[in-house]
Amino acid sequence: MLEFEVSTIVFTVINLLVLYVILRKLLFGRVNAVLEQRAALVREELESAQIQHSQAEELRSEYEAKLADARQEASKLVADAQNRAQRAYEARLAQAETDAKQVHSQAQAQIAEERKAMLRGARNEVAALALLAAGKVAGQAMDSAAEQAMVESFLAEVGERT
Amino acid sequence: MDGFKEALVEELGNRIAFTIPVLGGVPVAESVVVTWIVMAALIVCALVLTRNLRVQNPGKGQIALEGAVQFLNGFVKTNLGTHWRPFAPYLGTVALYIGVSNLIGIVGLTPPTKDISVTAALALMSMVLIYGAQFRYRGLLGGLRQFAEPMPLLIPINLMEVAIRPLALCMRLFGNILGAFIIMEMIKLLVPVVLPAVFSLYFDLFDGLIQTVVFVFLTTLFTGEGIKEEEA
Repeated sequence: MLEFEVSTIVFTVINLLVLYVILRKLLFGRVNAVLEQRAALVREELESAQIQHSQAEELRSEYEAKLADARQEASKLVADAQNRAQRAYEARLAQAETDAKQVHSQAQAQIAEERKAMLRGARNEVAALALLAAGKVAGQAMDSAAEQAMVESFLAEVGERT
Repeated sequence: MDGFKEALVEELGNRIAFTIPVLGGVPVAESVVVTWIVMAALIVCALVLTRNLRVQNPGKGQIALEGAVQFLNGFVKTNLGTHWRPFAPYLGTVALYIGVSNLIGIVGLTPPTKDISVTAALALMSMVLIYGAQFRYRGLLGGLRQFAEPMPLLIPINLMEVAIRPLALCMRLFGNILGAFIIMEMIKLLVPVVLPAVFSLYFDLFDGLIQTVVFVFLTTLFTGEGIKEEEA
């Protein structure tokens, strides 16, 4: 039961070596090859995915830059247009204002002119009437130039006060 | 009872299957013949299982097979470090061989591991593997210096281990299988029905697999001790 049989030991060693060689080739070799191939495949896929991802990222940033440019352009255009419109509006407004002012001042000047003319007329009239009345009171005509001037100056004095 | 004793002793002996009539007759033990059967079974299984291996869309069988091989690779890698690659197939082969040998009692054949010569051969191979690897990867001087690890005081013990380790491996496997075998024979004699099946679950299946794991694990551990680089 406990005797070591040399032939059995030798046979077993040979058997084990043969089994090892065969299984290494048929079992472990094949399975490991498949595992390695799969690992390589996965690595490849990952790498290509990485590359694609970076490419996509590049494209995206490019597009974003373009988009930002376009947006800036558009906002600049809009701002320009607004600016111009504002300026045109202001110019129109100023024009209108000056026009109105001009019209207004013309009208005022005219009114003042008319008023002056009217006053002058009225004063002449009043002077004539005063002279006439004074002549009647004095019993003689007071139509010499000196008298006329005296009345005029009096009236002017009164007119200034009113 | 005497009859049982005789039958048991008869069972415990290693029968000679036949003798090759050269050099005055080379005896071929029964265990060697069973080993051939085991080998044939393993090779056929390997051929069947590795048919149509696919890189993409593997089948269920292939996934299980890959899982087992990956487990083995991982285990050997953890214990041996950088030089694990050449050892995995050998350790896998030994595991398959011992496992199937321990379990073959179920189909009525005598387990080859019940023959101490077979376990001695396995232990010898493990010894060659352990110390061969040590000298192969550390060189002659480095391999010798490894006997002074972890301290020179342990040199005698390390040297004794060269003989003790394979002896322990050999005797552990042999003793367990033989013990299980004897107990099973006795149970079969005492209660021939039902009970043997229950105990067979433990002694044939569980113990057989445990001893397989222990043998391979220890061999890997010892090899790793010899060659594993300490992580700096």
